[in-house]
Amino acid sequence: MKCDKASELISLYIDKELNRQDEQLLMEHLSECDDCRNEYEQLKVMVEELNNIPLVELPNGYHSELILKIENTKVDNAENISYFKPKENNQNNNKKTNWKKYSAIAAALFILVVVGSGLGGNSKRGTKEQSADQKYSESAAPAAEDIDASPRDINVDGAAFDEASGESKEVSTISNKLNLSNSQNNERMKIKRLYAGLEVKDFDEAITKLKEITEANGGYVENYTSYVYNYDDTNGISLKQGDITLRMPKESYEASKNLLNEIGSITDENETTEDVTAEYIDTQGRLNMKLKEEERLLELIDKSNTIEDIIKIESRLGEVRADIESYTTSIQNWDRLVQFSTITLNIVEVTDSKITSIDSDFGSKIQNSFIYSINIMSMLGQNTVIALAGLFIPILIIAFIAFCAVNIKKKKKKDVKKNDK
Amino acid sequence: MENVNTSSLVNQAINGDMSAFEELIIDSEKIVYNIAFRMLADAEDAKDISQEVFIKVYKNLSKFDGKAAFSTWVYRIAVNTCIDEMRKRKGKQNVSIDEELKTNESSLKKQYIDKEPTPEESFMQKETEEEIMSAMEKLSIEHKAVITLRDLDGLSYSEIADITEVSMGTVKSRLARARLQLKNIIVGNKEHIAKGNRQNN
Repeated sequence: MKCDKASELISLYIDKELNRQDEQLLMEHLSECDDCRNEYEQLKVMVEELNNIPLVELPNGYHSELILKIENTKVDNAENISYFKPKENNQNNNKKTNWKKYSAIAAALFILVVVGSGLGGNSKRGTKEQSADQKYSESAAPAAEDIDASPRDINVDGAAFDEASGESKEVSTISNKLNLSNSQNNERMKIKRLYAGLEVKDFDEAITKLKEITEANGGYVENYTSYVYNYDDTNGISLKQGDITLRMPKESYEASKNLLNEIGSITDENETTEDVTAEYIDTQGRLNMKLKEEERLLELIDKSNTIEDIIKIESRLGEVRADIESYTTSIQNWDRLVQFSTITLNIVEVTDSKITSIDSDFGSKIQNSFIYSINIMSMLGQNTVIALAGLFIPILIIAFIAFCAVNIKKKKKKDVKKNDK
Repeated sequence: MENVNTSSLVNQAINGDMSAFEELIIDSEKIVYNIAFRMLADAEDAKDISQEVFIKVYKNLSKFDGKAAFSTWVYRIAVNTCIDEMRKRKGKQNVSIDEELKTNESSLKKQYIDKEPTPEESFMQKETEEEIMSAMEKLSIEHKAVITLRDLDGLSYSEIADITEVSMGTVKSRLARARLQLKNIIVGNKEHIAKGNRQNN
């Protein structure tokens, strides 16, 4: 055996990786060759020393710090890459900014509607709906987990970034979630909304019944207000009226409608059905494309070797993920709106005597005008919401562009910051 | 860890179950940290990079194909991340070739010369470690990696082959060359010091 061959084998011999035959030959050579023998001795000592060096202990708090960082990456990724702020950290800020934007848009539209629809018209007790601050575009009804019967605000930023759909989730998970969504090829996606005015004998009783019916059917109360609107001095009667918005699973929608008759007498009603199937399928298609692109980009990252390439790909990946999130949000919003139909009721407590009395005394006249103006407001509100519903898509687009514009600015700022680093 | 157990944990972790993820990584944390520490030779860096490794593991969970053991996959990500990091820094760092050893009395040198451990040897464990570490700094990135994985972290040849994605044969020859190289650096330092001593006399 020659020395270079021996040299190769020495290392293996130290690790006991040599077969019998090679070991034999090596031993023979080492007994004859001093240089190689020295090399063997030295390497042996060195390897022993290396083996004796103990593993370094993890620094204190390493594990908990790591878990924290991972939790934060879910949040951070959404922040850095997407245009939608995560609900945990930035909800309050977003609420304010969103409110500003949407109030501005809503106010403009409201004025348009007011001018357009004209102030004359019905003084009848119109159906009352939520005013323009119920955002159908960006916000969704709260996620199913949030069901409770108490009145509450609608999250403006109701996008469901629950754990499973957080930014850091991989492609397959998101598409799995989508497959569970409503719109399969056969089913149309229809958003049902009912506005009705209900006259009841006992306001509180009616509300309680409604809540019961709602919950029994798997729905929830989304919003609820009430107030005393007529205090009749002579009789000592105070009458209440109020609004309640219910979300009912679409399966129980028809049944609940019929139950309304048992609670009071329907003075008027208005039902709308919005078919969003086309937009839904369209958005799903776009989402799938983006998901595929995401997959490809991830594969590319795996294969790429240089940091520059990786950075470029990651940047494009960020954009793609932003789109994925926005499409996912839209789809989830639609899912919820379709899944839970909206029933908005204006409930008025009446006694046998008519409220709008023929009495011509001054007090009643004031009451009448007051009621009149409330009705006008409610009618205007109704028109606004109808107009908003009709302009749902354009609003979505405007809002989305606004978001992008704001966040491109922010992104630029962040890029500048990064570059400065 | 059984394969079945691992893949169910992975699925749970993908769905956001943090405790499943913790269970997956808890056994590899120390080794990953050690890989980073030995490769990057700095505790702060080691912590940052090793945690980055686990974040990468978390983000790429769905890419784990279950063919190799989970730990092997994790170590692979760790080694690659460290190598990338070291390449990034290579341009910036100044490696001093003439770096003198910290101690004049090298326990390793003694062993090479005397081959007899003296009582001092056991106290000099830390110094030996320092000598070896500073000698390792002069190795190429690949040699450093393979010595770290084999001699410092005690991984088997086949594991190293999986982790570094080369053949067993390559691992064997690479390790042999790395060890030889390291030994020469250490012995060379000894000669350098001996020279210095002679000059001082």
